[in-house]
Amino acid sequence: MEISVDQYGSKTVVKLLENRLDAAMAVRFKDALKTVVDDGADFMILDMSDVGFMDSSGLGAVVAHMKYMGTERNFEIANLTPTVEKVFKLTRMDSVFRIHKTVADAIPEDLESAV
Amino acid sequence: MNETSATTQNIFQRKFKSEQENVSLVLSEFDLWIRGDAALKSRSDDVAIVLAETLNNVVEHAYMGATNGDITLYAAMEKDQLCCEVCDFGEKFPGIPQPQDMNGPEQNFEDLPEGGFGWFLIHSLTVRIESLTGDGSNRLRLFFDFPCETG
Repeated sequence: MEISVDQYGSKTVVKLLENRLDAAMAVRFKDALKTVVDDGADFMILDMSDVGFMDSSGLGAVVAHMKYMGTERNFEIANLTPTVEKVFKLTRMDSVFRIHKTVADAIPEDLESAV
Repeated sequence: MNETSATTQNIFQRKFKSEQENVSLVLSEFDLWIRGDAALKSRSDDVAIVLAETLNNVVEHAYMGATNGDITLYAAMEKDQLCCEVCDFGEKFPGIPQPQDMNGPEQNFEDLPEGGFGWFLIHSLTVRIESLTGDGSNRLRLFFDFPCETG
């Protein structure tokens, strides 16, 4: 499980550097994101541009992470690939998450050039 | 990892042990197979989602995490439908559950489901599901519509 973590002002962009977010990966994914939150991330944007496939276990892990961050912190998602977007839409979870087309859409304009 | 495998233009077949890593590997091989067919590749994502959910269910529920269970995956075109059959020899399959209602009333943050998406996705993307259980085996047959001839 590899992720990259970049800070843009108060927003933490976490990029998942795997091409599948599936049952084999879900627990490690949750643990990796939890560590970033426990290290102080209050506003996380998950960049899923490398993830070509996500199953229901992966989706469950994303939902669990949002619940872990709670209502006091923010969790948003960016860069869904077509198959991953389809899983969000079919399960209606696209209405639960704030989903951005790109990471640049999710961060303040003055920081955009850094992305 | 694969004890047996067969791939022709019209048939995909694999036998493997019940580990999540094997599931991921077989699904990658299946993806290559289905994308190699001009007609089938139009719905390759749908089939991949359904097979991932079905195989995960076998690993997690039929074999309950045991990694030495046999699983076979067979896929072939039957007229204008793709039929995928997943067979296991684990716990008796309790029957095809009805999908959860994902259009239900607005849910509280804490009540958001972290599971139950699997069967919802399977029902959403297949045209027909058959379950055959007996002689110690469970066979789930999943059908997908492909209106065009595959040649």
